[in-house]
Amino acid sequence: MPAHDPQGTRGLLIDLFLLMKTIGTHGVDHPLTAKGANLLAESLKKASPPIELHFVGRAVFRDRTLVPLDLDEYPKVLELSAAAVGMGATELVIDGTPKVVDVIRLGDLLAAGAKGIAAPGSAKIAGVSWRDLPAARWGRDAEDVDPEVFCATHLALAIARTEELVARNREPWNWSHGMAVVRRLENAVERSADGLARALEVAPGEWSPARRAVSATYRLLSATVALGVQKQAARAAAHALLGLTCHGLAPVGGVATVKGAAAALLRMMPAPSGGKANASAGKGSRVAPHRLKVCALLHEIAHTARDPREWEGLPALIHLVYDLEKGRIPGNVDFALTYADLLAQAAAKMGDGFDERSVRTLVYASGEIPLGAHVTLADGHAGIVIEHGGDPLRPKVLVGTQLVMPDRPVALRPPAPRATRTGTRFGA
Amino acid sequence: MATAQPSPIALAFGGLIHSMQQGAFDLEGMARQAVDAWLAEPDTTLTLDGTTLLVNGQDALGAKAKEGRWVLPAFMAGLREIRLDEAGPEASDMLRLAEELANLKPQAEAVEAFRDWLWMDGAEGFTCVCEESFTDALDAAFVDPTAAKQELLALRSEAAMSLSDTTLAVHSRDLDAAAIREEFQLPLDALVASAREHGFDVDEIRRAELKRGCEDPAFWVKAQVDFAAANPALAPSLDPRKLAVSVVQTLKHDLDLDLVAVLGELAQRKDPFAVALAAAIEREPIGETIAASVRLNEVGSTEVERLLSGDRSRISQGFVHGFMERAGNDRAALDAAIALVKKVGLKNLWKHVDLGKLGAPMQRGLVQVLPKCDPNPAIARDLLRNAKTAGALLAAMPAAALVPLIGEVKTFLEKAEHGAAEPVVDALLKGGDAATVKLLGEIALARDGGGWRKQTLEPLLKALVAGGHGAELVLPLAKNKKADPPARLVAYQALRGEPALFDKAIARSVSDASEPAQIKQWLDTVRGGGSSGGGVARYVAIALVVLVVVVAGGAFAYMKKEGLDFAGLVGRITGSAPATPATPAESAKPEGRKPGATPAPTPPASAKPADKPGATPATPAKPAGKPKSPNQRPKPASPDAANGK
Repeated sequence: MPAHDPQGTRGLLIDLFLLMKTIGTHGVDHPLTAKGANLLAESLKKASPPIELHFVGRAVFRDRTLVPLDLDEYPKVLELSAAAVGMGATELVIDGTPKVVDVIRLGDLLAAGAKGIAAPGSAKIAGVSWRDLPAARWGRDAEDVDPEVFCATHLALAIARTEELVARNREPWNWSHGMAVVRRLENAVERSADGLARALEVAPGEWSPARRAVSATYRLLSATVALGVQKQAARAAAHALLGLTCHGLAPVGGVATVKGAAAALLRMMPAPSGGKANASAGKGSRVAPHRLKVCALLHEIAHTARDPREWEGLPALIHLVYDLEKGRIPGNVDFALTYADLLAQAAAKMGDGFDERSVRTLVYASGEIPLGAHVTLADGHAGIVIEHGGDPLRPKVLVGTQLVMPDRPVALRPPAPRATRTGTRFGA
Repeated sequence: MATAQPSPIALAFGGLIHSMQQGAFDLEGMARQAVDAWLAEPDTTLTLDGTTLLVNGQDALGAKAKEGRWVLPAFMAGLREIRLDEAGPEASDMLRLAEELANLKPQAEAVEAFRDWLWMDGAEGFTCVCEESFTDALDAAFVDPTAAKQELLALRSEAAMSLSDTTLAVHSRDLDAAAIREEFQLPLDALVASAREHGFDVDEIRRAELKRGCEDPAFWVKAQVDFAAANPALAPSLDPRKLAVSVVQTLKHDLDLDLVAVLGELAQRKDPFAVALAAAIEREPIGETIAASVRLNEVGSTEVERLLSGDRSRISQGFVHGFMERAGNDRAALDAAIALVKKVGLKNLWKHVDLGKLGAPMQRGLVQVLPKCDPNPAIARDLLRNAKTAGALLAAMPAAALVPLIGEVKTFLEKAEHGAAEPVVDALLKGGDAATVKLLGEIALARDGGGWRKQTLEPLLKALVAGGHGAELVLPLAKNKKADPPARLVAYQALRGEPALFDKAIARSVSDASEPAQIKQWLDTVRGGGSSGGGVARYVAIALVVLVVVVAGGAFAYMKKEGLDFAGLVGRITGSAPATPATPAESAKPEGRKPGATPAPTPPASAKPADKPGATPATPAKPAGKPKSPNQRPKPASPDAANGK
């Protein structure tokens, strides 16, 4: 059964496709072209402009909503999408109702785009505008996206989602958003773990609870990836930690791990898991394994009788990462610590305040000189670690605007106070 | 892309989805068919490519097949591959996935919900490989990468500024900060120093250990069970079967004794989910899996000990059975089993044994383990209660193990009805040693051989005779008038193994008259036609002696009467008797004499039996002549004979 499409977008897309194909075959002056253009003009009218179309990946969106397509329509729209991308119109906006001649012009540009010819910079069509979204090539087409950009993008989205989760702490937990955060971090780690670490640590802006929550979740994920932990366990732990940090972290410091876990569990428990459209949701059917694991883990942390210093395995690792992020904003200074500082504190308390294996895991995952750490080179120059080298004690260091490969081990140095610039919060 | 024959898996799977959309019946049957089709080719991967479904790179369904209409919305949700996971789906799993796909519309909300469901491992029994969904891609497309790049550039500038001593403004607040920074410096130095000394090296072994610490199956199982116990309202929504299956998979790959301990604790809990999980686990071969996977040096661990110390459960039973089976096939495992039994005590092991499920390999193991342990009368009783299966176990046990239990065995055999006792006797006889055989003989004698069939009694009695216990145990049975005649006959027959005893058994006696007819008839047969040649000869010899005595007595009496001496008697007999009576001394010399012609007398009833039973009887000897008494005076001869002519 065709999906519901009150705005007639599907019809519009098919007519646009047909016009493109007609022009591609017969040229702009053919009677068939005129006929097609008239049809398209009608469709445009029915579709109630303004119409904002996005051709992203292998889908089409109208007003940022996925256009539902059936099996017959999809291959045609896919071809249209490829043509739009070729034309340089990942975003196509149609204001008002263009004239037939303008419609033909649009069709002509699309036909050229189908052949890989981008629209000339001077090309203009009344009532129609377009632009290219460089980040719109994802999935299979993502290979040409700069990994830095990829990671920065996903990180920004993750932080934005987490901000929402933190802000709506009186509502049931939005599992979809929580999973989206973990998913984005997973994708980013997979694409470029260093890129994500850099983006997280060195980007300017304040260390809000949301950013610290994302940082904690990332650290846990990167540790589990480094160890090769089973994905299900790793995701569940990351999601649990995200919940814990969202409820436990304050602008400065935060509550105890146990208390944060209890608060997170309280919020997660009554929330539906899969969303309304999910067939299994709301039918009294089974709780998804992931949700059970997340809740079970938080329950275990919240109700354990043992001192956190005696914890082992994932609870110990979660406690460590959470506690470190809690201490990222020391109450008596106006700067945030770097991850290197946090790691150093963890190392100092290893075996006493923190489980030794957990500290070792974190150091193993991030390296002894983590990305983003402030270091002093042997020649006295100061810099920020940007990339790991072959030797963990001689990473690549950004000194000023130059990338330097030290020939001798570097020394960690504490962070300098940062000038906090309002309005430049990362991701805003 | 080449078009091949439609894939049976794709057809079954797609057909199920399509049928679901059409509201068809018997979906469960179709789901089972789809599972079976996939399990027939378990490595098959379904690949989604836009509107096309591929199997091994080939179009699996053909263009616009109705079974493939689910592909596009699933593709929109980011689904790219579906294959079976290690445990494989059940029909209910297939139904669930099909239902999700059947209801999936190519709309944003539905696509996102399906993507979330996949990500939450909702497709149990399957491994689903996903990429970004269409909606995820759109979100990412609107983050301005230029801004991100600009921020990175800003960072570099900022970094350059902040780290340059010449541009850093020093304020009092910063001086305070600088002082505090020294506190941070110490840990930083320590971190680097530790790093330099390789304090944080993680080699492969350590890495595996850390990984294991994060994956810890025991922790996850316990956490989920504890959570379910604390939230009983969730119980109907939780499926313990899947957890049970995952537990088995975990144990198969890497036996985790902590998990074994958790399972043991689980079996003792009463909260609903734990009970349901325990029941689900009971249906899985977990105990057997543990037995097969456990490292021999861990068999004696605390966790295993705890498992055996608890009440009997399917797991503990499976473990004991499985491990005894392993011990029966492997010497090293046998040593470990013996050590385990010595540690936990035979009683603790035994309570988990189900003799009704005693297979041959497990018997082999038990048979070798039991003798090494302190025997336990309760165990003997248990074995005896299951005589049909346990008989072999009893029999296979060396005498040294059986002897301490023998009291129980004896009691049992003394009281058991035939049919129950016989397998035990048979088995004990087959495998038992002399002491055991003797014991059985005592029991048989005590029962007067009653209640045991010939097939059981005969070999026993023969063994007793062969073992030198014929006189003590078999002969009394043969002679025991209270015993059943058939049993007595068997005893008699068994005594043939020792001829002396046999002869003694069948020797005539005054009590023959009161023998039952069956016995009498048999004895008659054996004695009458059945004595040995040696026996007959004896009878003849006795008869001759008697004859001689009688004749001699008669001759003496005649000699006295006639006043003859021996020579006179001889003379009178031969007709050349001297007149004068002989001196007693002369007449005292005996003369050889031929055996008389009188018929041999019937041998007396108390005569000894023949040496060789069954020997053909000798021709009866001619009756002996009257014996002549050396003192018998010969008849007076004619005067001429008396005068020496």
